[in-house]
Amino acid sequence: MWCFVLRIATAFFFKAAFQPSWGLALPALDGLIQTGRFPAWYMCWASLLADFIYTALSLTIWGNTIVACCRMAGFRALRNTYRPFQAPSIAEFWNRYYYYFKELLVDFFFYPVYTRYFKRHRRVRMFAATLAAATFGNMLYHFFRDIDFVFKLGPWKAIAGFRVYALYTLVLGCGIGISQMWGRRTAMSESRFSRILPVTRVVGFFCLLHIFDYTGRDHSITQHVNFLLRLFNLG
Amino acid sequence: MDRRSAIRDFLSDLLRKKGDAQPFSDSDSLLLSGRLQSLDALELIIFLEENYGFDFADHPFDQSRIDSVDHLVALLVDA
Repeated sequence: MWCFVLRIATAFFFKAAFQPSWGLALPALDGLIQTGRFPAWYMCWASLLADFIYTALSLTIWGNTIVACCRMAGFRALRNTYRPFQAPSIAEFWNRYYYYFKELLVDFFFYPVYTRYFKRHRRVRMFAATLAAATFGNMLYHFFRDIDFVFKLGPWKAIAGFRVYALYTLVLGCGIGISQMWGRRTAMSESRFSRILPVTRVVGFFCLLHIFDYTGRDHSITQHVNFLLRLFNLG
Repeated sequence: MDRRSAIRDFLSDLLRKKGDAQPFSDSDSLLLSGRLQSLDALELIIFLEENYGFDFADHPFDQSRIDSVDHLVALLVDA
């Protein structure tokens, strides 16, 4: 029921944000990055925020619809997306945003590295295992998910065109790794007000990182960086 | 303190840190049920390494093998 209501709300959100006849008529993020013709910086921010929220809502609906079906079938499936915008750390956001994908990477990449390498150096161990999962595993998964690019473009162009997403996974891996090394876990007793700053920082990080969350093969890193600079009225 | 009690205390502590004060039995699933998560499993791995010299490099790692107090005790006995 909630998924259905959320689906309708998301459709309205999408139309209100991006459809010219409905309201804000924001330019699509992908189109802006591809053409390189940017509007005023605040419109770039609005477009990025709208796309980020729309992507999060779409993922929530998709994942939790599957979880709901599993539960209706009698399986005690855990939630997929769960309050990511309340996460106090980057690692916790990733844990809450796409739980099953994270678990997949943790099982296949994180634990094997963590249980075998750098045992004497706790921080290096954690960082290496995080990079193995969030960077290498993530990259490998998406490359093979879109394997049709190899047939369409040839292997070299398919690999070279993947550079934007490769950068995305590298920054994501480093962000999660640093977040875990600090080991910040907001205590349950902390007030709501004191949580605002870390939550804003985390959401800001993922919102900016969303610019590079592109698995296509048409864009260059420069195009994405230009958009990032435009947000701060640079370039 | 015997192994079972030490493991129970460690897991209770881990759950309490997460704000989970609900009781659990020795056979209750903690990881696969979602009460504990991947990051907690890491603390559990370190606990087993530091206190019992258990090395997961010698044993295939599987979350279901460290899912409950009973599983953990069995894992240490098998080793």
